Amino acid sequence: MLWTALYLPQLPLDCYAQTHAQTPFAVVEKRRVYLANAAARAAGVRADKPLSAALALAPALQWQEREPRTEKAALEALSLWALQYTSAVSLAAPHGLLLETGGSAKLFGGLEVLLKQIAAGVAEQNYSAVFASAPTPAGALMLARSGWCGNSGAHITTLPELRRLLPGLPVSSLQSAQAYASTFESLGARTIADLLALPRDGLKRRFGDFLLDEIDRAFGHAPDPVRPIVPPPAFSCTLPLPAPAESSEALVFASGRGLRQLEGFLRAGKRAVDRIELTLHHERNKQRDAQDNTVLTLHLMQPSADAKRFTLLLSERLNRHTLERRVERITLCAPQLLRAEEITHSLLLEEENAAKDMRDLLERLHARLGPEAIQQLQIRADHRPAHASGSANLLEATAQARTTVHKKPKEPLPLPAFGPRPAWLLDPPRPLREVNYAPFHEGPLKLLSSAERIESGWWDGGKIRRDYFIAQTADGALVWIFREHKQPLGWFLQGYFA
Amino acid sequence: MGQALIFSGDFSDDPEETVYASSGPRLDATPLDRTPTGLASLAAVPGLWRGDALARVEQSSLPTGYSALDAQLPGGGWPLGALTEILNSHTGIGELRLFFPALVALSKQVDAPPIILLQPPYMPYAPAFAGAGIAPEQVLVLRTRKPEDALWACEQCLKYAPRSAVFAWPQRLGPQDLRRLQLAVEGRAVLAVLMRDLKAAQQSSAAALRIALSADPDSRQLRLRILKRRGALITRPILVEPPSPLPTFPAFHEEPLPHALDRPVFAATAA
Repeated sequence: MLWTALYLPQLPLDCYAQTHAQTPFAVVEKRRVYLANAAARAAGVRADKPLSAALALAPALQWQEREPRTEKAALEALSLWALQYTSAVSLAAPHGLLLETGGSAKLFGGLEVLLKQIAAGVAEQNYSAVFASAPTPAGALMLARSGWCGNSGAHITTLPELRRLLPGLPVSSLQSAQAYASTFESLGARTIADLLALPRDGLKRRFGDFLLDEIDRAFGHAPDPVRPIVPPPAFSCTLPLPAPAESSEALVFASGRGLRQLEGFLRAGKRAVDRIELTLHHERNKQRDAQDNTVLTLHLMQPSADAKRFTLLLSERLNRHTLERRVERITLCAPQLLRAEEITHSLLLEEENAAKDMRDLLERLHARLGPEAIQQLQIRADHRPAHASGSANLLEATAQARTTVHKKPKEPLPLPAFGPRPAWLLDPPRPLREVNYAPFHEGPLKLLSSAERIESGWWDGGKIRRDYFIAQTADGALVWIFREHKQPLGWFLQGYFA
Repeated sequence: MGQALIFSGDFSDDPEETVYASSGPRLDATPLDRTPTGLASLAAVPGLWRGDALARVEQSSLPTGYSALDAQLPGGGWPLGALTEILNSHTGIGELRLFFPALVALSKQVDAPPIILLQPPYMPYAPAFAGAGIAPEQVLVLRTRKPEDALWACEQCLKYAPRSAVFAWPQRLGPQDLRRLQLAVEGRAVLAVLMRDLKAAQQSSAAALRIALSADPDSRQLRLRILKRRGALITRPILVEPPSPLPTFPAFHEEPLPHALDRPVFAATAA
């Protein structure tokens, strides 16, 4: 077993999706700065400074009250993302994750490659993280927390080596020692070795069981049970924003992290989605004290687990949407997970690309123009002209086709043998004048066909009784007209043979 | 025939010989055997282009289904990867039927590429497409609320709908919009047709092919005037007969029908 600890020292700060690195931002606890980003630090804002002093130093400072709940949610979302690399991911509260990488290293082509992938993924989500691997979970966490391993991380694969290393680590690398930092300082215990030199009984009496237990687990002297997280049946994550967002670009940027996490989660379970719900939580309205949300839905032509595609669609969708009020945070939700289809490779690469291009195009059109913009023509078995043609929302049609694909294909209904029909239909038909007992449309109409009697529809109250003709206008255009046999009588224009 | 004048001036001082070469072989054609001169021999010179010939561009195309028209179009059919403008002021003369033979051929392709109708003026009627041999499921109708969205959607379709046919009925279209669409479609295997009013013929256009349509009320033929093509100007109209909805019994307006029952019903009797 090899455990990789992912330690996020700046989680309270990083859990807010910061759009611009240049904007000073700080997390505040009890009116004092808890953590500040690089831009704020450059302006002189340091941890433990009173908020008023910090605001004097950096008037543009954005700040949020520290909220352990938000941090925990961010950590959980990250753990779902990490499931794509190993089946055993565990939360190491408050700021760490534990991944069992010994088992999956081979699959990814070696520990080094795997760790590189994880590090790149974490960096893409704008988290600053420290990695360390060790044969014991507590040992890995201690290495990561110690700050000893630097950016590239420390990866200790054997227990004797770990045992040699641990005594040299500072006491602050122990999670259970965080609360007693000043006490250890006064005791003169700086490293784990100093701590181990003290009598065990005394340590136990003074600091409780936890301290010694953590050391024993790290050294591998005591069992260290780790409870792996259980993947939930649906994905949902909340993305808090450092300051209420006014533009859709900030929202697209902030959602990027959530979409990446969704991708990781879907990959882990070989799942895909065809619908993503995005809830925009608006700023609280001062007058009404009501907080209402906007729900945007993204539809995909084909189930996918590709964050890039999600992001493209989302930006199209948000471009169409006008923000009425500022947005405080975003919730991303994938309510229904589908099984990812095995990707079938066509023999011709070109053909495959063409199909992919087409699908992407339709998704983009759909996201920008709205669900009603693209319609697919459908023919219906009805003799009445206005009922014989329909159109279906393309996404619904494809979704339906997908769900019914495993069933035995139904024999299509035999369609009635239609006479000649016009490409353009006027519905409702346009009444025509009658001049000299002949229908008149931009001049007298010349009838060129014999009558086609259409009499149908008694069952649904839409009964018609008409004689249809093909007629020619003075300009040579062919039109489809009919003579109504019910009240009101007369001639009507129903279509153009365009 | 400016080309012929240049030839006679530069290559042959004898007017008799020019006439003789262009009017075909003569029985006593001994000079031709010895010294190949005249127009016919120049045809073999590489890089020489005849003024009345079509531009020899590597243009992929979709056969129109009318041989008379194919012969006059640079690639031998509707151009793919270039804009085609159809200018017509009377709905119903066959502006869409004109394309039916090509669309039927397109719909028979393996992956059945879509036929996209963008902002059509009326409701496209599925039985008409089915009757022509085009699967209605293949026809996608796109409508946008804002005109600028329509232009965006058109550009997107031209760029990213490979091997499909895109028909657009744009409301307003400036020269720069046309230029943009022409750039979007360049090099892509898409049939791109803009359906516009005849009034637009006055405007300059970046389209590679512009055709004005008019109907011949006395026959089923459609008169095509090619206003612009990649190649020489052509002034005489081309007559084609698009698939007609009319019954195919003998042309009733030419000779009387054999039997009264077969005769078309006229308005007076129907009323």
